[in-house]
Amino acid sequence: MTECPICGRSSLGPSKFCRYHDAAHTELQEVFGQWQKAMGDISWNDYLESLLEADGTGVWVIEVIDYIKLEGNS
Amino acid sequence: MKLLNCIERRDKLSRVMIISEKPTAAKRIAEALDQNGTPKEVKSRSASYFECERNGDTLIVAYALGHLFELRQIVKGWTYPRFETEWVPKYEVQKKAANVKPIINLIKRVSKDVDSFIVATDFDIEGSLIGYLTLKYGCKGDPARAKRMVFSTLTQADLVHAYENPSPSLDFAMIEAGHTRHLVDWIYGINLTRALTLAIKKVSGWFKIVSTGRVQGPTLAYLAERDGAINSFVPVPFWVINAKGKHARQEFDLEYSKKRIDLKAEGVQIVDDLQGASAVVDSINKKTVKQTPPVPFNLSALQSECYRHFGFKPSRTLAIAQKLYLDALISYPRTSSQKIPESIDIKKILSGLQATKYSKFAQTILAKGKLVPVQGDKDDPAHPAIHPTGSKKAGRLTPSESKVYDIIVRRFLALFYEASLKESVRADLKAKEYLFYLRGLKTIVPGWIEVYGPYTAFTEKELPSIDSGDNVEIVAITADDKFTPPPAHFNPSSLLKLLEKENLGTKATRASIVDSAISRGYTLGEKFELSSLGYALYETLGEHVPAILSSEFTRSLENEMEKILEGESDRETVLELVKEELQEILDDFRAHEEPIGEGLVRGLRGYWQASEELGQCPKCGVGTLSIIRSPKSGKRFVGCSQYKEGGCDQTFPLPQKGRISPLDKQCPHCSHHMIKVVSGRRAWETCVNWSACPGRQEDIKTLQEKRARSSKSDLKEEKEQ
Repeated sequence: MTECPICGRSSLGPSKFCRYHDAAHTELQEVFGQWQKAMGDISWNDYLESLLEADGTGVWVIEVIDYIKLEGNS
Repeated sequence: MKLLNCIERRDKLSRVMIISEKPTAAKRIAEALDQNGTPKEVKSRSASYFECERNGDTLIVAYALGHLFELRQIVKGWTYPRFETEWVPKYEVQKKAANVKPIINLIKRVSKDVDSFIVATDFDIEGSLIGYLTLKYGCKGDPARAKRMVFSTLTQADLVHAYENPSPSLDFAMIEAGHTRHLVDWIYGINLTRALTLAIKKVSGWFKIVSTGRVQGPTLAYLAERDGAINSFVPVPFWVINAKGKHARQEFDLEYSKKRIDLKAEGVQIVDDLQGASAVVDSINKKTVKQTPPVPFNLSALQSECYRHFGFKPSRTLAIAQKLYLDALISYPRTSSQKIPESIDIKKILSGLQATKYSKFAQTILAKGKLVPVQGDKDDPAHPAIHPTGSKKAGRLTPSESKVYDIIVRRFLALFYEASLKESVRADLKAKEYLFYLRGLKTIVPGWIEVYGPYTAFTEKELPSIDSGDNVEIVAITADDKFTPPPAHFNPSSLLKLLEKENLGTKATRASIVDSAISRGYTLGEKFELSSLGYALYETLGEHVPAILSSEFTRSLENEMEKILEGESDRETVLELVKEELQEILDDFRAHEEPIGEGLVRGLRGYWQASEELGQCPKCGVGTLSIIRSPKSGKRFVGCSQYKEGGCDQTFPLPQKGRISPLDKQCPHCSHHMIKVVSGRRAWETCVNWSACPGRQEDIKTLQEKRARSSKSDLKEEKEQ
């Protein structure tokens, strides 16, 4: 069983994240489509930056974004 | 003939023991029933009872202190499962309950010389059980022969009526329901808490009590699910059109007909199209809105309103309402009813209120003649909705009591007022293909708002002076970006409402369940954010024994217990169900004891780290500063983890009162670690170096100067007077 690279909890099945950060990561990917539609056109990186600035972005989502930026992963 | 009279007289004159729930209630009952209104308080050590005379009978009014008897396991051993119990004096189970010993001893002694018993505890399942247990185990009386006084206020009239017209037998259905609830909660709480605690002990050797219960488990699950939804929330942008119009030199805000625009391009298009444009008033529509008075208060509605207006936690509102009840100012507060039944003497209450600051309102209602209150849907067979008694308190109320009393009285008075009528006006303005609104709202008939106004959110808004066909110039227009908000954190009031909606707990227990989520360390602060311990418990139980977190079983249990109250089920049936379910849970638990213990130990470590560790020691740079409690003095301070190994003697003093939590920031003045102190309703942030910090010294000096100024001006005022 591997550890979540963000919090050290056990990873969930095939995901490298724990259940919480995996849920945040999934949500992050799902909502990107809504942002693209709303903004007309937005890149993945701009989307992540905007979320770091936006009000109400969840703590786990911010941790996932920080991890993605640090690792250069998606 | 003489002998016969003597026998008749002996039969008639008797010693009657009345069992009440609290000393204050006992005193009120004695004062109400004594023919001279001056009962004698007979003291014995730290306990007492009241003795009074009525129609030649001697009444002994004794009191309990809530429960005098508690459940204890029959088979010894701090382990699980333990299902068999017995009732014993509370002081034998709880060391802190030593104060009930003299009360039990006094009741035992006095009850030997008594002819009959009347139970006069609160008329609900808890009160009925208290009366029954006190009678059975304290007085050694026969419950089948006792009578019951039933009342909803502690006013003289109600108490005399309850005494003169007692129920011929005790309310055994309520007693049985209360007894079952106690057993079920004991069996759940004791066994699950022991299972959790022993799992931690097995893994780490620590004896740290981690508790859960029948309702706490599902409550934790609700809190965790909400916290998770907030933490994994991704906001979505949307746009709001903000426009200003100008007509006849008057500027005003225009409301765009669509509250939210989902596409940025659409927002930009609207702004581009309407830059420098004007709108035409297309129509002006008026509508009268009728608003009936709010329904009478039951406990949960009172708790909700008091949280909204005064910030009182539900448990605090309940405690204050209970105090007002014992002062005979309001009716019994633990009620679900939203109805004021016909049996209540409304005219008398209003007459009583005429002698108070509510005189104007009471007179207005009495002048109408017809006294028909607005009623709600919910009913409670035991007690009416919460209402004032009309009595006046001899002393002064505390500020908090005054607030709760005020909202109860105003709500009651509002029930007799007519509906309020408001005129709502909406002007539709067209600008090209876009529609804007202008709104106005004014009161035509204030109705019940006249009395309940302080607790209604209503602002009058005047419509600008415009007519159909007028041109309104759009002087400013923007499309402002916003984000969808995450789900709201629970607060004490919303959590209580959820428990009520889900039928978990009772009206009397929900407030303490809400408090226990914080006091047990599972959540942090008033927002109910889950702590690492809360998450560890939720995750571990969810993985290995999810039944503990499920609300379904406990809800079905609540229904079964309701059936006991209605005489459709009994204690044995419910207990069989509980034991069967719990045995399965505990077997599962035992099989996973080690991983459960590991999960909880991880959570505890994280919790202690978050709640006690402040960060790197500024002196040695190696150790960690943490909050430590001296084993000798019991006082807390900040110390370095390198004290023993590295000899680092860095310490900082801490306030001894209040809850302290480390903050993830440094002091802007001295760069030391910051902490948050919460004491009572006050919360403040400071650094651990507060006694020497240059920034704090300035604060302290300013505060001292402010205090000196304030005391000087007080002195001046006194002299002038």
